Amino acid sequence: MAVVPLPEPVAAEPGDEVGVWVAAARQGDTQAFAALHAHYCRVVHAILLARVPRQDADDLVQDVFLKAWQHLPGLASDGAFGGWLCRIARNRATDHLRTRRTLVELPEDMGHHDAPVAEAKQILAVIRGLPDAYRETLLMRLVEGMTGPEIAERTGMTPGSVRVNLHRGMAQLRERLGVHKKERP
Amino acid sequence: MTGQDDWLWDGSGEPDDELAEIANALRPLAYDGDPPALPARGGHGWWPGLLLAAAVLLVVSAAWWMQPAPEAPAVVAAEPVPAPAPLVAAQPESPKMPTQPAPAPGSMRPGWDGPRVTQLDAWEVEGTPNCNSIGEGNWLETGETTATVAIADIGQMRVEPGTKVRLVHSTPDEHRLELLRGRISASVDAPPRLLVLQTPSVTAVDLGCAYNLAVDDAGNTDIHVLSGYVALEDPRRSVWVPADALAHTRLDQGPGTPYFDDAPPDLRQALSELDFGPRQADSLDRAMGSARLRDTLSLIELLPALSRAERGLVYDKVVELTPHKTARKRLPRRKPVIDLDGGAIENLRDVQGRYWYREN
Repeated sequence: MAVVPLPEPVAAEPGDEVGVWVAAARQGDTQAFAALHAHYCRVVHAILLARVPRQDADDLVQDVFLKAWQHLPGLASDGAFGGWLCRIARNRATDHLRTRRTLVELPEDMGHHDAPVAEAKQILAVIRGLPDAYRETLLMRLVEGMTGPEIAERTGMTPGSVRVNLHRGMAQLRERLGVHKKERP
Repeated sequence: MTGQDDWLWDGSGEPDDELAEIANALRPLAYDGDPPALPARGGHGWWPGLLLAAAVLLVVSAAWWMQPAPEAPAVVAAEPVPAPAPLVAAQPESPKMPTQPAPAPGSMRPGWDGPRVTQLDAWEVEGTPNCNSIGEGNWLETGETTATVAIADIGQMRVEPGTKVRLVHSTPDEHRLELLRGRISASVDAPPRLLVLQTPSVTAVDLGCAYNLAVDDAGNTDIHVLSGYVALEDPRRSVWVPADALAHTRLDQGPGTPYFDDAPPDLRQALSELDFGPRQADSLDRAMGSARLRDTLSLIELLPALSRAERGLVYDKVVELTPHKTARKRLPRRKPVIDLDGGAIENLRDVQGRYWYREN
């Protein structure tokens, strides 16, 4: 991913950079919006990946951020940005599935034959069969490499909910993959 | 919590080898994109244009004002007036909504009332001879005309003849309208839940879409969604209406079950009996018997209106209609669906939704 220079927070509390970026982006600051993109793009991608074919997810990330950019001035509260962005992503995914109706669905692995990607897609297919809350959280953790605290901070979920989703989702994933948790002595 | 749980949580504690293997296998799917090229946003760019347009409008209006006043039209189709007595007794006026005083007859030219054109919260109206904007609390009555209303900066609404609609409020996080009777077509390009339309029988919440909505003189509401989704919300029952689907709402009975516009007549009839009565002994059997693959929309949305035992039957029917073994494996389990667990219902909708728009 390209390294995006993050604007220095001005007169902000520690950890309050997002609010500063949102306020600046609301006023048209594209650098601040790039910072928001860097901060949230993995969350958005995971939400999309949980619902749409992998080859479409990257493009839809761009769509989601464009829509957020256009409608950011109408956002009621700077602190609501994360949850608001997640809702846009979920709706964009649903709308995308609807508009694909006239297209012939191609196998997701068409044109790709390398084993690691094929394995990743097999696991992804299993994760997609899990309940929504679990699959989004698991994809953020396992695909995007985010930690539990990061997921909570960026999605607006409580840390407790994230921990439960990870724990239960992982248990279901292990069961479906036939992987048994090793008990350590 | 074990050390492996800590590893799952934040990478600390004892490494979980299997988990690490899964994460490594999935890593090629991680996002690696750049920020999009951002277009100029309307926010600042349209201010100069708006001010210029307002100035031009004021000059033109002043010139118009200097002319001898024509006779008032026989029918004032769209004059903003104080909120009239509601047509439906159960629909009280909100005391919070300010209304503008009615202009004295002949004191103001139809189509212009000066200060309102500079109101930022007023919405532009086209197509009516004597109203070019509506502000908060104003009613728009189209009479025999058809009006086009700009829904703030998020969309457009066509208001058909014989319609009475009011702008309740317009704020950055919600634009709320009240439709007392008539027919509108709304098209919105915005994040979900920005446009809310109240009718005497239901509240329609836009989830990013285009739809036609009609309210008859009895307050019953019919909606046909053309793209995106609409949620029909009511304390008794809420339903989710996707593109190409219709739903009817009866006053005091809440919204009925949505169905696709090509649904079999037998299914429509059975749903009407189940939603609004009179229910027949075989209504549910006929609904399930006539349902096609894409009619799982109706079966899923029907669940909250059924008994627990009936929900089990409907779940089984949805499973039976699911064509592929892999898709059936993705379906939520029976019990949470019967328990009306929100996540399970959403999951059911999500799996089935993949088939609703495929050409069969």
